[in-house]
Amino acid sequence: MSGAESFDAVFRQLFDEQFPSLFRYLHRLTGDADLAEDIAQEAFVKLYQRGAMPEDTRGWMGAVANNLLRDDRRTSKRRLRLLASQPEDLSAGGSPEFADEAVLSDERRDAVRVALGRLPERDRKMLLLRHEGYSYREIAHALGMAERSVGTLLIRATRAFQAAITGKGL
Amino acid sequence: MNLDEKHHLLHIGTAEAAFVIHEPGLHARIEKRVNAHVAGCEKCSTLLRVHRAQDRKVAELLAALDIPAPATQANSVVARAIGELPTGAGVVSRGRRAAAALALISVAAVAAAALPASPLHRLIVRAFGTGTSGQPTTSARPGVARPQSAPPGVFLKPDSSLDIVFLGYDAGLVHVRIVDGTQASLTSADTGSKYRVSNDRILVEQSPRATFDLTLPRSLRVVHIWAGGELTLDRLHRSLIGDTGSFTIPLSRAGSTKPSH
Repeated sequence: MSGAESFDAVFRQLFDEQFPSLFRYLHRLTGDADLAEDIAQEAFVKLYQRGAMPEDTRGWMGAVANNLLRDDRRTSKRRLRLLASQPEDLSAGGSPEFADEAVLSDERRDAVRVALGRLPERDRKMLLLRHEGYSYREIAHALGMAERSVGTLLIRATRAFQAAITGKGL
Repeated sequence: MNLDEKHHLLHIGTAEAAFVIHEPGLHARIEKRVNAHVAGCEKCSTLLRVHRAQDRKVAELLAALDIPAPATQANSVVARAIGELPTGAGVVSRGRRAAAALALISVAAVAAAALPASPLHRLIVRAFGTGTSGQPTTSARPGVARPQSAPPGVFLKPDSSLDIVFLGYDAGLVHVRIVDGTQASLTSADTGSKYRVSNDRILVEQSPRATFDLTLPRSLRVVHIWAGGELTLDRLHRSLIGDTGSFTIPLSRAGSTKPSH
């Protein structure tokens, strides 16, 4: 197997393993499924175009995704994103016995999003990456920070998130 | 009491607790000390339990946000990466495209609105490859069928994405219809509008209050419509298209633009 073929095979395996995780991180971060999908795909496009796996692949992917997101937000200030206000899924008329459950689920989701929104951006990203299974090293790489400070900051971010969510009764 | 024993007496710090909770098994020395300490320290044992519980609770709460990941295939990403861009792959760097198209519209709008005979205007016309002001306003790209009874407009087979740029700042409407096949068209009964077309772009100098009919192939997921200097539509989303396969976009300055079914 040539180097290019080998890279291609490794890339495809990595894509299958990591795309859902990167999408989930971006979706949790932005609340926008379309945007999360676009950014996650583009991050993998950049990895493929790189032609070689970085030493810390997940950290590299996280950093690229965060940069793409930042760039998208910059341009979106000038753009009218009509679809941002579109609901992700329009489900028509659930049965009555599930209605309360659906409302609770929506409330819970809203509360979580509000609580996340109260965290500083770096803490929010750190928390989300941690809960995608990123190591300290990968988090540090993805967010451009010192590895040694990740643990302490994570504990603080967890505490702050917990405090914010407690006010929401969850 | 040796040094290790003395060390074990120290209460655990936040960083140590974090290592044990977040990366179990990776920091053996720290873990050993923490375990030795919490075995005899109720306060630190409780603290560690609280941190663990908080961590689990956060994981549970974050899961409430999740939706299933899209069924994106590695093939479509690889094709995009190597520049094949299969139709409907839906992988586009929106920031890069937006920046490029915005630059284009800034130049084009100034030229079109100001001096149609200026060198800048001619340059734009050349850049789009076909037509000049005053030429017939209907064109079809090679290999593209143009219905005989069709009103004036343009007919093309876009590669993988399509930018439609309305240069004017006047109100108007675009009725969008999603169709099967590979052909796109933009037509209007209004004969005063002028079009420039390339494989992935349509530039329109529209008459005031003109109404357009835009048909787009279902497989063309990435469509940018620019009106009044702003990006009005950036992709075809299932909730926008709806069951009818059609929707309408008002042409006006940004902020007053909303699609409707």
